Amino acid sequence: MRRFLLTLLVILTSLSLAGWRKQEPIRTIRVGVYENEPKIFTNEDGKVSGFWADLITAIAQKENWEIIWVHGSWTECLERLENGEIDVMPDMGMTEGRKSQFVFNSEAVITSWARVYVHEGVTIETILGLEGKRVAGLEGSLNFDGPEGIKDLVERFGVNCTFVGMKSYEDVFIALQKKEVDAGITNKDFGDFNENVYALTRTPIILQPTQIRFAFPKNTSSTPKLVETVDHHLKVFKQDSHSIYYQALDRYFGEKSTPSFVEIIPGWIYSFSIFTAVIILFLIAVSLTARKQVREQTLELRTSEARNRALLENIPDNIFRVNREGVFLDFHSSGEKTIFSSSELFLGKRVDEVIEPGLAKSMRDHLERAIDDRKMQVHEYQIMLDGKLRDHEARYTASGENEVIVIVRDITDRKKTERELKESEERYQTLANVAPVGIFRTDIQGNTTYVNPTWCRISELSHDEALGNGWLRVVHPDDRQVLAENWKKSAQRHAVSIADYRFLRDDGSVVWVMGQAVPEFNSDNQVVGYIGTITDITERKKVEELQAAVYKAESADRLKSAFLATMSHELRTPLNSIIGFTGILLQKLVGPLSEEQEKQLNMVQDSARHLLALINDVLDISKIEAGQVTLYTDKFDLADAIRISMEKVFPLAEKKGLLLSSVMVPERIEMVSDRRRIEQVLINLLNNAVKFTEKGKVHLQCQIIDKNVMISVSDTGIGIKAENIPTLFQPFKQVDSGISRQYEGTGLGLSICKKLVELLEGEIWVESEPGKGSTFIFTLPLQE
Amino acid sequence: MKQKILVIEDNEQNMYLVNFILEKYGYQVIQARSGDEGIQQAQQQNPDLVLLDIQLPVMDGYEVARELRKMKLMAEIPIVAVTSYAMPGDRENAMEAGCSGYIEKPINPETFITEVEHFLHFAKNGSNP
Repeated sequence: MRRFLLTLLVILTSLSLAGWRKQEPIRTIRVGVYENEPKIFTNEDGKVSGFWADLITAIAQKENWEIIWVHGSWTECLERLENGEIDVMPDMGMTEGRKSQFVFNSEAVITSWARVYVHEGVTIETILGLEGKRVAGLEGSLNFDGPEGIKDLVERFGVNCTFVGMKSYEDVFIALQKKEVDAGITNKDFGDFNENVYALTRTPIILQPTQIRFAFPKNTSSTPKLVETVDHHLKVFKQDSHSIYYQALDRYFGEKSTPSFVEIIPGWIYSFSIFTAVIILFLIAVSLTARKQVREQTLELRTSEARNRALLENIPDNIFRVNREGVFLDFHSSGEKTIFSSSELFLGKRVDEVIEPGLAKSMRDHLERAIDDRKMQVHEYQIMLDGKLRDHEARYTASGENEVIVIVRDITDRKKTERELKESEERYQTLANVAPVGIFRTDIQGNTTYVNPTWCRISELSHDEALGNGWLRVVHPDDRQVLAENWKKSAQRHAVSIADYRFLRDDGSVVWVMGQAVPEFNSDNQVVGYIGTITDITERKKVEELQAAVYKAESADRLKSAFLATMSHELRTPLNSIIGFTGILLQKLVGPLSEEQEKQLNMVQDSARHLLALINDVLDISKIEAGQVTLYTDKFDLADAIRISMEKVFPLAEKKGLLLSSVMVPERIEMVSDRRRIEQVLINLLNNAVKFTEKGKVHLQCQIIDKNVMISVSDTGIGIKAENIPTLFQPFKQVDSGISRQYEGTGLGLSICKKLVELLEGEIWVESEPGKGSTFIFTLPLQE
Repeated sequence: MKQKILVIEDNEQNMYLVNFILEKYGYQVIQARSGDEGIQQAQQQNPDLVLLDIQLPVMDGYEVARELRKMKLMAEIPIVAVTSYAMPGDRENAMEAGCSGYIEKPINPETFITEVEHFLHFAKNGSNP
């Protein structure tokens, strides 16, 4: 137990000793000193005095501190404070920047501000008054270089002045007194103290009200204790009106110091500061606005200046002053090549001496007229300059009784353009006159203003007749409406109007024309009229009409063709069944037939076959009539065709007991024709011959005559009466309708034969004697 | 062995007629009512001859002929067009489409079988009787 207590005691003691050690008493303080009477300074005796010195000395005494004064310049002191080479620095303006650098004590000590001074007799009321002035200040001080110092403020106001940095406030005042500078800024305290010495006047310009306190280095260990101690004492001082604080104030600043004066920034300072701040803000605003206005006005002025300059520089004129006699008195050129390269050549000389006689005389005349008539004379002439021919325009204006101002302008380019335009115009005219299309122009209402010769030729109107509305007269009445609408629509859309229409000439003839018209625009893009062409398209129209007709015909043909094909098929189909089934039955393929059944079925079949024959013939002739027959031309042996046809007819001839014979001369005949059709004709004629002959023979004769072959089919039949012969080859014209039933046939055979033969470019006719027989003859070219 | 004849015909009565005659004379008839059916039957049945109505609806006869000719097995088989031959060029068209020949409609019941047999004997390159 005892041991424990002892150990505890030792521990406690050491701890307290340790703690004590931490709180080692301050023995000495190093205080920064710079020369700033009366705030802090070294007097004649070498003793550091001043408000701050007394203050810190008093505190040190009470604390038993030894003061070590460290002298230096303001900047040096600041450095030392920063580095911790001194422990305390008096008279430090407490700014935001410094608060982060150093430690300040908490008790207010004194307030200060900066003031601008001028030398006597000068009046500067505001910062603006510093414009263009030289201003001196303490280099590095807050009120000079610092934020919201004079330099800063001046810049904000947009005031231009020159700043001269001095090493001390004295130097500032000296410079000011010597009038080396126009104004100087110092701390108020310095100013108060010294203004009379240097005979300087304070201006109302004050800045930077600042708290002045003690400052301590940040990182020194003694700082916290020092701060605490200083604050403590200051507090005590300030409560005692007889303390060193007030004494020092009195002694050094000479103000009747009351707590209120020092303790707080006096009320009037506050309101004054606020008032000043407001004024400053207002002035800043005004100055900014003023600056802006000035900038704008300057810009305007500069722009207009530039414009004027440009104008002047672009007048390509030479201006002469000439007297009545023609002597050049004066001359101004814009720089363009003038009549003469240098004015010496003609100033003082007469026109005739300098310009070739012809032109000179003309100029003299113009001069005189200008003066006599009191009217401006315009004179265009050509003159040789630098080896080039130039066009000039001179205007002579009299100025007084004896003088004329002549303004000469080079118009070569203008003249050139004019000439080119004229040439172009002429070319256009020529073109319009010879163009093979009609050209016309109208005004905006559509009244014709111009037509070219071709137009007149097409319409057969004269130029004058065509003008105005005249041209409408020749437009075909049927087309007028359409044309008018077409024009209107195109005009609205400012598009090309294209239309085909007719001219109806006085002689009744019709001309088809294709007209095109476009609007004409002026330089403002407004329609001023129309220009167009007409082309004679009568030929084209004819072709078009023909083509339409052909197409129509072909369509009709196609229809016919389709009709015939359909009819053919439709008509034949049922016959297939009739002929087919009766055939099967008659062949007894289905079973035996009674006599009567056979008889009746035969009748059915006969009729069916007859019907088929009719259908075939009708279709055939229809086709021929409709021009639907296509001939298939080929090389073939006629003998062969004849033989085949004969073979077809032979069974019938045999049945009737007729002799069928043929003779061919020569025996082989080569033909180029439609073999099938020839066979058709042959079969038809032979069939007829056999049909109408009861006994005897049917003979076919074939021979070549010239470039044709002639075939005749003769029979010993009933013959044909003379009166029947003319209508023999017509459809359905059978001899004696009574007999016709007997002889079957469709009644179309001969007409088909005729058509076919004629299609093949041949001829067919008949020779007959009733009761004796008939001979049908037809010829065909050997080559189609 | 009975020879097979494929008849492509859309008309009922025509089909009946042709079928009757052919069967009467001992041929086996395969019927087809349309071009499509005809082509199908040709593939399946392998006929010895085809009787083709040119005037078929939908797929026209020429096209059927062409299609049939494209088939390998039909290369040597006679395809006979049965036609009214109304229009010029019908004949040529049929030949061009691959028909071996033609028989005119309405058929002649007396000569029909002869005509058909002519084609059978002269096969593809047979000429018209």
